[in-house]
Formats: sequence, C-alpha cells, structure tokens
Amino acid sequence: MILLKFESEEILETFKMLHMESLDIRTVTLGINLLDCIGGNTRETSANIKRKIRKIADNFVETVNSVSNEFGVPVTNRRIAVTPTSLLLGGSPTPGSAANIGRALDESAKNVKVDFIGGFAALVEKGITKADVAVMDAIPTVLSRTSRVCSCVNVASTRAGVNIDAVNIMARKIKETAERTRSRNGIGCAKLVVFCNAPGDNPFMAGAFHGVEEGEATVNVGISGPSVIRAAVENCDGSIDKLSDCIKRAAFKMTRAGELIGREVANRLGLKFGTVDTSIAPTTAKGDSVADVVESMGIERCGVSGTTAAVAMLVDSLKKGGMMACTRIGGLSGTFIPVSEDSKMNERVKERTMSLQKLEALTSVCSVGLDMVCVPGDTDESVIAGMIADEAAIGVVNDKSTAVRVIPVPGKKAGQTVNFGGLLGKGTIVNVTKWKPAKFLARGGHISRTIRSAKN
Amino acid sequence: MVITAVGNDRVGIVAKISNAIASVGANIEDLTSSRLEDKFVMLIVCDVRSKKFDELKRAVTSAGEKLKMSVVVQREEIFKAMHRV
Repeated sequence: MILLKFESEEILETFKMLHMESLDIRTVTLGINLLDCIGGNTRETSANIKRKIRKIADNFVETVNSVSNEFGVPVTNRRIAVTPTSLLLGGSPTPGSAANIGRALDESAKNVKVDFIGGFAALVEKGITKADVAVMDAIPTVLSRTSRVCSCVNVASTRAGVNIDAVNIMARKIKETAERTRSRNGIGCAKLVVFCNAPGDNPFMAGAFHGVEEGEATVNVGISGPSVIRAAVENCDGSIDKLSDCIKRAAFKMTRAGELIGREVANRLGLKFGTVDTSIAPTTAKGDSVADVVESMGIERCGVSGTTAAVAMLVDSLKKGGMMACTRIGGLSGTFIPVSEDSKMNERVKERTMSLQKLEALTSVCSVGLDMVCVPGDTDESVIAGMIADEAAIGVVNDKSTAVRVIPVPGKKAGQTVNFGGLLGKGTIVNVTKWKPAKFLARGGHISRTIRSAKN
Repeated sequence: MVITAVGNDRVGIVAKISNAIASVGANIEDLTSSRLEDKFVMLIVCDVRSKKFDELKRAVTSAGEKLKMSVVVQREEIFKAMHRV
C-alpha cells in the first residue's frame, strides 16, 4: 500500500520504534567554548562564564523541545558541555578558584534549565599543571555542593601512556567524593568519570566536555535505543552475518533520526552541528537494556562466555550502520554498559553471572568500561587505582576510549543493593578482592606509550 | 505533516479525524488505513503551514482522545531521514 510520499510500512515502523520500542534521542548536548571567558581574576571569569552560557544557551531547551515536538521524537536530556575548567583558571590555579568556577557552572546550568553541565575537567595524561591539581582537589567539594556539575579527568592516552600519579590522585578523589556524599550513598561519584582517550565531542554525561579542538559552539547528539536493537535482533533469524545486517539497518535509522534532530536544533540556534554518538545507552526501563540485547542474540545469560564476542559484533554493527547514516560520527560511538542504569545488567551482577572481570573484558569492545559499578565503601584506594590503571592500559594499548565510573558506597558491603533513583537506577555492590596493587601503584610515574602508537 | 492514529476500529474515525484536520485549514493529500498487531491504524499525509503545527496537533489529539485512539503528528522529514538513503 503506497501513500503519496511514504510507504505505510515506513510510517508504521517509525511508530513502532518510537512508541513500542522506546526509541528516543538520549541527549542533545550543546558544547560551548569558554576560553574567551578567562578574566583577570576568578570572580571576573565566573561572571564571564555565566554571561556567555546564558547568551548562547538561553533558548536551547525551548528549541530542543520544539524540534522534539514537531518531529515526534522524544529527547530525554538537554545538556551543556564546556571547556575543561583547568584551562580557565588563568593566574589563579587554586582549589578555591576551581570550586568558584564549579559554582558558576552550576548556576549557569540552572539559569538555562539544563539538568547537567559537563566539563569540570582536567586533561592530565602526560603531565599535571598547577591548575590541573586545583581542579582535581576541588572535585569532591564541587560534586558534593553542586547538583548539576559533572566532572571528568583524562589520565591516559594512546599517545601519552598512563599517568599513574594522576591515577592515584583520582582514586583518592573518588573515595573523598563518596565520603562527601555519604548521606546519598556516594552519589557524587556517579558524576565523576576517569578516562583514557577522552573525546572532546562526547555528548553523554558524566564525561562530556567541550574539547579545545572544537569550535565556538556545537550541537552534539547521543542516540539511545537498546529496545529498538533488541526488537531488530528478536525478529532476525539466521547467521551472525544476518544478525549484524539487522542491527546495522536499525542503527542506520536511529542515527538518521539523531542527525535530523541535531541539525535542526543547531540550525535554529544559528550554531554548528557537531556529531552523532552512535552508542546505545540503556535505561532502567524493562527491555531497554544492553544485557537484553546480548541475551536476545542467544547468550543465555549476559556475562557468560560468548558475551564479549556478542558485544564486539553489536558495536561493530552499530558503527557501520551509524557511519552509513551520518558522516559526522563522533563521541564514544560504541555501547554503554552502565550496571546500575541497566536493570537486566544489574540483575546479572546480582546473580553473579556478570562479574567485575567480565565487565573489564567488555571494556576492550565497548564505549567505555567499568561504568556505574558499585563497590564496598571500604574498598582500598589502591584497589580503585588498580581498576583505573587496568582500564587505562586497555585503552592505551587498543587505541580506544575507556573509563571508570565506580562508586565506593559508604557503609555498604558486597551483595547489598543501593537505589540512586531515576536514570541512575539500582546497583548491587560487587565483591572486590582484598589483595592490593598498592606497592606497584605507589611507585608512581608513567606507563609509557606503546611502540605501536609511534606511527610516524 | 504525517498523522498516525492507532486504536480499536470503530465507527466515525475517518470523519472525526478529517474534521479536526479541516478545522485548522489543513489539506489532506493522502489517506490510507492499515493494521498494527491487533490495532486499526489510519495514516494521513496533510499539508499545513508550519505555524499551524501546534493548532493541528491540538485538534487531532483532541479528536483522538474522544475516539480513544493514540494520535501522533510529525513533520515528514523524519520519515525521509529514517527510511530513505
């Protein structure tokens, strides 16, 4: 049956994806350069930041809402990413100044009605400046005293190797942040990501920031859609090649929807469109789960042998479908496996079919790595540093982004659960070894770049 | 614009939705029906000035509520983007 412009099957498929398979645009993120806000002192810089964000983003939320309404595509989050704070401290590289900028970012987010602003960040993969130290020192204060600021620190890269000194500092800051938000189960750590190879156009929180290589202001989009991919997988018989093809087709459509929304928002705001991040990102809603996608492929329980291969195929297919759909693919473009945010994944962690070790293995094939993983509150700082170092090593050697967003939940032991609420979901505290990598990491220094990375 | 109305089949669906569309001065370019699982689906492509989008959406959503149908109004570019290479 053919309508004048579209086949009815095309309209019905879109209706199903949007209304029965929960397709949404997970985030439209406005990246803003703040380098021109640096003033003679922190007060001046803060005022400039607030003025600039209001000027550029005043109509941002309203515009995204209009575009979402007109195209009938839900947009879950509207967010802002800014230049890493460590680059904004100018002649005042102190934790107090960094905290003041954090407060200005929080106020700016409130002013323009976005729920999160990312970029309280430092890039320390090679060396650590005074300003980087100031930002890292201020992280526990900022994440406990603000509600909308997200923070990330890049401690490793394929070109620089792993900065173990920075890894150790960040393990300490994670513990401090958990303690400072003790009354809320250490929720401050949900807003803190430690990265390897962090991209400057990632639209997803908590790791979004506006890289120095980016333009003045750009609109980046993150798609969603585990449910859509699960439906595509469930309706697909045949070989793994066929399965990959089904995922590619669904990814193509999702990416196209994301690009359309992003370009329209950018156009209406008079800004540049940046990239689409093709990562699928789960929610706590039943079925909107990456673990469900894996199990739909024929893995009896997500986490058992075969899971890494299945996720590798999934990510490869998402990328290929996404790249066919849109030339401007960016950010992390893999798949997220945040444990507490994915109800099925958390279920598998609870029943111990998914382990910390398997999550680490999945790092080698997905967007990031140990994401929204809850560990006992008394986990030793060096064990957390070891987790970060392991993830960073995988990222350095495999030339990919990896990250750790781990929550040492104060007062909780392995096997207990914690409810963060909303999209952050419920997490089961995983068992962590009592054996420590403390002496190795206390040596400090650098794990240098690989020979393979010296490409010239 | 593309209007998708989904619900149980009953008397008066075409009449009531069409009336709502006409009430804002929109012209129906094509109309067809289909089924989605066990539900009746009506698909309409209509031409309306973009300024009247909200008015059209209110009118057909209200008609849909009376018919106990779920009604979605979307700009057609979304279908072009998702389904055409």
